[in-house]
Amino acid sequence: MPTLPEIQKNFFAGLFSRDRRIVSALLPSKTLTAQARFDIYRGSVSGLFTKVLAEIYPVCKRLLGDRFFDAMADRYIAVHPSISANVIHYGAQLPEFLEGFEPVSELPYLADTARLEWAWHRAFNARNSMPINTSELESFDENQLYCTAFKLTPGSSLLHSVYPVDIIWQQNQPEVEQPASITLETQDNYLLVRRSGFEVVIDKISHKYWSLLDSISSGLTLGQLSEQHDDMVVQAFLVEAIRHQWFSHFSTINRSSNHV
Amino acid sequence: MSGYCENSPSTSVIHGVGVGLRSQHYQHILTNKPSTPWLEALTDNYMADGGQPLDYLEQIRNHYPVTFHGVGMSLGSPGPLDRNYLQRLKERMRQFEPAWVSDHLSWSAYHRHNSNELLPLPYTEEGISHMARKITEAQDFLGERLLVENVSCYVEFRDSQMSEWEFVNGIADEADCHILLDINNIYVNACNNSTQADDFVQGVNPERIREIHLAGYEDRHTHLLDTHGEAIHQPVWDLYRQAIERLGPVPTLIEWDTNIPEYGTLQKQALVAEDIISASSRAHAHAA
Amino acid sequence: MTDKRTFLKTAVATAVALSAGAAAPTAMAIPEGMEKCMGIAKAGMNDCGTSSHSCAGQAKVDGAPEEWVAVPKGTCEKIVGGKTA
Repeated sequence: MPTLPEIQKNFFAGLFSRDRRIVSALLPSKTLTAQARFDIYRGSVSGLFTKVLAEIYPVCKRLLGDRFFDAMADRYIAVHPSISANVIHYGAQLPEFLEGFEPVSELPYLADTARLEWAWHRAFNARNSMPINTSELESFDENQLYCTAFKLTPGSSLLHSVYPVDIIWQQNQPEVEQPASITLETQDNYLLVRRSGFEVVIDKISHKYWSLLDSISSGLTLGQLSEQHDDMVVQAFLVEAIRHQWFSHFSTINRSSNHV
Repeated sequence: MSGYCENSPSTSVIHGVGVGLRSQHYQHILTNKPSTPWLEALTDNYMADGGQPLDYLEQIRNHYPVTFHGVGMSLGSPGPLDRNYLQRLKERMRQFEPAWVSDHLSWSAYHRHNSNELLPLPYTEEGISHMARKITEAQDFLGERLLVENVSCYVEFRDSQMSEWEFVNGIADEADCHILLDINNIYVNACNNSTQADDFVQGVNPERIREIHLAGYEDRHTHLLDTHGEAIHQPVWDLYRQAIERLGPVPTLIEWDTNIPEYGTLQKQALVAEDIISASSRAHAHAA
Repeated sequence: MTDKRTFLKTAVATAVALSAGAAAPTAMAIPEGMEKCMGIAKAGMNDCGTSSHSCAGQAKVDGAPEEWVAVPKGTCEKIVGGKTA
């Protein structure tokens, strides 16, 4: 009689591979063989992860069509098993997977579209935050401001694509019944995906602002930014950043690194 | 004697027939405040760091008692319990004060990997002590008794040594936990495994039952699939009536997870269950 | 150096003052560097059910050979020039 650990090992292996050792530990029913009964679990697991991927990547699904998407999902599931108790974490590697997936090689924008959808999912589930307290920021003296670093709203992503993935995304939302034709021109697109309250917002921004946000997210201070860029650029950027509430936190990082 | 707190002080507010909370109904519930006595939240849908679902739950919690029901504890897995998962669950319990927390008598994870599916165990003494040990560990961590649910099961293990209800009773006694009795799962398993659903209802330990689940299965001709995607079928209502006759007015929940209809349809299902509870109470009062 | 410090003090004050009307961005011209702001909100992810089989309502029949579909048949057809071949 197999031990419990053996049964569990074989059961799990059978779900994700062609390993069928578990079947000999199972009984048939009046209507189904032991194998067919076990296959109910295989189908259920595959259906579950396919559904999760479809929820996170609805635009990719619409671009590919249901049948193609489901077949693609099977391949993905086979190489990327879930490692979390919560399916909310499943599917993060789909963009990279699509990049190397031969059947979609004629859709070069697909992986970046998937990146945008993952960024959306990440922002949707991110920690809640409040916009920065601007009067507190204003009260800082010159030296403090010079040493001030900002944090982007939790769950923010900075994306760059040579394809118009924002338009592709927008045209493939469920409320758009007939997506407009899109002519693919390769041109740099810079996006910020972020939370605003409970909504997820996609901002299309300039390369300049994108780079500034990128520097800020890697910890550069206002002083460092001002040394690297024209005053006019920094000024205009700060107006936009504060108006659109791109930051959720700031602190002065001088020698004593006292947090505000 | 165990040292668990008797769940939360709000336990006593859970009575009658509740409805499983689904995102499709957030708006309806907040706008119309239906007279549903309590709602059951799917714990796993509120485990994110933040975001709108948590906010909806908070708003709804202001108007309704809630219970927590999850699929992620993986109480029968070979490895250790997922401490991160339990820690997050504990935070959510502090935040929302559910009357109680439930999960399933199944396993999902195999070491690092997860099927995120409710997988069965053979009904053996080894299975009982394995699962009971882990339930005890989870209860110790969370500081209260859990409710554990009998799952729908599509296979039968050659090595099973007892009936499913004996297995469930054994675990509940050894882990000193409560039972969440899913009537639909009992029926689905009885059909798929050619066993007697009545035996389960008559055999399960009434002392341990705190909640009942009702849902609709889907008939796949060779087997029944527990999709929670249809109205509750007549044989499940019949079995529920038997259960209520034996167990008394146990808090009951209507679950619907695929092809989710408008809220009114769920309320109608709840009314049928309420009628069964009232009829049973009247019959008992009359007999007394 | 001191210039930059003075500049930042003024720049922050200006930014806070100019962004005060943030609730009505249409009142202002779209500034350079900001092509547009698509505040698109999408409905949240749906829940997964409690019977995990409920997430597999469309559970595929397994055991059968995988049905592979070689050509995507979705809205990608609307993206002209999308196919490099």
